[in-house]
Amino acid sequence: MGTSPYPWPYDGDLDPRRLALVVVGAQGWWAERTVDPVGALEAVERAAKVVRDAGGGVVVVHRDGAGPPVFDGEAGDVAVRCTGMSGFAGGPLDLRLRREGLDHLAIGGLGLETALYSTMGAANDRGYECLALADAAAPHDRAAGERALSSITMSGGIFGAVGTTSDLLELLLA
Amino acid sequence: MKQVKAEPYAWPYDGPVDPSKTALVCIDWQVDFCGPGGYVDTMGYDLKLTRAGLEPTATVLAAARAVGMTVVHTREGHLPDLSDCPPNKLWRSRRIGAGIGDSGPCGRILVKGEPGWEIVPEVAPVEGELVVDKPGKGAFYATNLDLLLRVAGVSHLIFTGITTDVCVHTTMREANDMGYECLLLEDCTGATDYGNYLSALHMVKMQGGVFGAVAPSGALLDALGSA
Repeated sequence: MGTSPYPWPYDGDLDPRRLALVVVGAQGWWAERTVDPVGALEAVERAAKVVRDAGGGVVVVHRDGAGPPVFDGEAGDVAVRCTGMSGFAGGPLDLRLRREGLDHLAIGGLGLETALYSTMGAANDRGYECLALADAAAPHDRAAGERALSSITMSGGIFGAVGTTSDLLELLLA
Repeated sequence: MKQVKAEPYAWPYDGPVDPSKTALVCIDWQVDFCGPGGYVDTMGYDLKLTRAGLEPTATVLAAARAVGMTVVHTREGHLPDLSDCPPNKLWRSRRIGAGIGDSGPCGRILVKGEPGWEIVPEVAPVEGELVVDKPGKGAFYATNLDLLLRVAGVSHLIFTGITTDVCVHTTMREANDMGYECLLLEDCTGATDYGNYLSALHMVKMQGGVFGAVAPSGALLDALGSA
């Protein structure tokens, strides 16, 4: 177990007040086109509870025109809209993360090779320290999903690291 | 001019290729990514994979220039004091033994102005072509690329470059989110892992072309009438 290719985050002990669980793709368009969306969303729910309890933020990104939400979050969570496959496209995600002081992102949701990969690439360029939650991310097809995770871990973690909700829970409970 | 025989649809969606509103975007053909002694070589990856697309890209470049298409070259690199390098990116590069800013056979790794940062001669820019320097993987973030393309009247982008799953995908995804109509030339790109390269091509074509379309360079040459 443990995150790959390095123990996440890069800067030592995780400060939960700087942690956001970013949920992407949790809408009808992806739910109809991904493998086991229900299982991924259950893992998202588990992660969200622990992140909230630890004092971190839950940020739910919904894309305009992509169907009804299948994960809404709770009162106190941050809800933002976007207009592209990346959660940063055409919306206030970057602004809200900065305002809330959230610069360590655990990312989950539906569309591992689409919404998650686009969002993680954009977040990484903006300096966010990112962890892809493999069990909380539903792929469009399993082989492509595995390759997306492989790409993230190349070159020493080109977009950050890959782990599971269990890894995140261990970090927060440590 | 014709449409390009591409997958999963004939590209572009809106009719024959129009060179006046199309740009050829060549991503990061730098020594650091495909030359001996550069960043990718220092990490221990097989340069044959990232160099594979050089020859077809040179052919496509010549064809694009001949029809008057806008040509853009991008370069990833950081200021000499690394003030535009996120600390986690720096940390990861050092951890894998190819620290950004460290001295290597091609000068300081991923630093502007160093020999490793230069575009390799096979596909080097010529006078009048756009060259965009970027601090990250995506060529639109923290650059003036979108503005340059709008001023040039460009709405359609044809991609070559390296690496397929990282800088090419990140840029193509940004472009697609902004409404550009995108085509990736499958033999003009490569990744540090062959399976990830193939999968990156597949991902573009999923869901009816979620990020655009993919074609061999010969299909583009055919559409341009330069085959």
